[in-house]
Amino acid sequence: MFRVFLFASLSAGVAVAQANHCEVKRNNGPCFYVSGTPDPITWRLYNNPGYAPPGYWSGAGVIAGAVTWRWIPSPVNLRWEEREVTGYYVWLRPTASTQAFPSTGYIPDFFMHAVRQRADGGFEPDPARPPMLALPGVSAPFLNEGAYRARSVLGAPVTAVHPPAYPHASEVCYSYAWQGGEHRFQQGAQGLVGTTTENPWFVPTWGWLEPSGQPHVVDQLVEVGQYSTLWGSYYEDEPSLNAESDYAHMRLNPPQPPLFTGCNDGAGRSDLSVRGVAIGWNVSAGLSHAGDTVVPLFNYSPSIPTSSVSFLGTELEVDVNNPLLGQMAVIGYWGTLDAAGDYDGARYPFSAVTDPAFLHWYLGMEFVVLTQTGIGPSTQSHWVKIE
Amino acid sequence: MMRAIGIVLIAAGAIAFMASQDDGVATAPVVVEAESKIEPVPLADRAEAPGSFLQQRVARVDAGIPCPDGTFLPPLNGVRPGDPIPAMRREAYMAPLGDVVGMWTDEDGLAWWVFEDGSAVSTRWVTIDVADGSTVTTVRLDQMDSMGDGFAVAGGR
Repeated sequence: MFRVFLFASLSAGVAVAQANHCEVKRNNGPCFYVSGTPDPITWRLYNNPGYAPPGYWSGAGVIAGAVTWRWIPSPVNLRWEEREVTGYYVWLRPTASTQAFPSTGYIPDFFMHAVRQRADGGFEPDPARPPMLALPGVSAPFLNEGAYRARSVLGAPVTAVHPPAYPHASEVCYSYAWQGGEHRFQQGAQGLVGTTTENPWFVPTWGWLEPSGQPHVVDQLVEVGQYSTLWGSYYEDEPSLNAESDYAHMRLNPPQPPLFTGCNDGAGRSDLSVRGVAIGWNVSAGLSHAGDTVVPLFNYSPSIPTSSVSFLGTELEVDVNNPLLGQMAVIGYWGTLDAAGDYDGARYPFSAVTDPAFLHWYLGMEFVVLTQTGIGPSTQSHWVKIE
Repeated sequence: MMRAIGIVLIAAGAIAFMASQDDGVATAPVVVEAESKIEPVPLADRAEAPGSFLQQRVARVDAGIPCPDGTFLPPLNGVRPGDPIPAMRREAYMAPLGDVVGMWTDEDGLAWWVFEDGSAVSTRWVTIDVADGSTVTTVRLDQMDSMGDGFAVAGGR
């Protein structure tokens, strides 16, 4: 029935916008409950002055060629499409306010890696595999002191080629390479910016890899209050969906296994079975979709789907045949993409799902872009587990 | 019943949306024209030393680097206005860029436009090696957004 109505209303034009090039942020950071006291002098990788993890600082700064990496828990593209990367961004900061400006810094090399699983459940770059993607860094200016959002974008997408028949095919790490010698206490160097005082997710999502392949995981430093979240990610060539919540990282510490993986590690697991939560979904569809409308598809499912559904030429990850589909319409959650092709949806308050039948189910959301002539591409889906 | 209500609302909304749209044409895809590739100007051909800043005012032009306010800046380092130049982008929490106040020359001898707030932008042609053995040649836009230290913190970055 749903398909009949949607066919009838949208079949005048079909799938015209999928070829449009865009760059959209794949944001895997936690949202809302992040905080930190800016350190006006040093870059903000760690809260505790003087602390540095073993192997990272021995007087000479970062080891040249080391990469700071972050795991993206992302079995998100259920279409099993390879990622089409159009660039990356990362926040940088020159180390000290006493250095002269302008000064020369650099936008680091960017890599995407196939991963191997860690014993603690997280993932880390697999040094036995060549990078799936390598984008070279460039020299760049720091005109003033303070933080910079460095953004590098390509005029055409580049495919991140995943090793065939490889385990953990849906997991990825991305990384930024150090030129060597950088440290927060070193004049004329630079650092990465992260959020420092939030509560942690429970599996490592940020670490660095020495040139030897030896990994170090930052997130384990939570035990001494040193958790931080890297501000950086990459851009993709198709619309994406980024979730934010009022519970990310906060109420499930330590959370219970099994691991949740999703496009936003902060909003992936909720305690919706015992209390109401607020979740917001932000669509990033690229400049070519400015002014278009996005329509949410929303349902509950006992598991995250493992395949997509073809619908009017668009591959959807939320199943339009799911009998629980349609509750999204009650939400009234349509939106218009702004001049940048973004739609920042309001946080929607969900009442607690106290019916035990739904415990451990998933709440899924996906947006479809309606262009002026029909259905355009959809975002990937995002799933929130009901715990 | 819930499902039925939802379906009706979706369909009604979709119809209303479709009816409200003009007969517009989707934005044309950007085409990469490999024959237009021009190598970046090497350091030896530029008078400015690495790390130098040259004050200058730059007027907006009809085509080139797409700026967030809808205007364009002249592209740099051998990139031409008709090339597939990615757009600059400022997020909602960022202040407007302001005017260009000068040109910075980086360590590789390549030029950057510098804005009033200390932000900067540059363009260049690059060839990216893809892991499957192919290459992609295209324009790269690099953007340094000066954010100060007052940016903490609401929402993921």
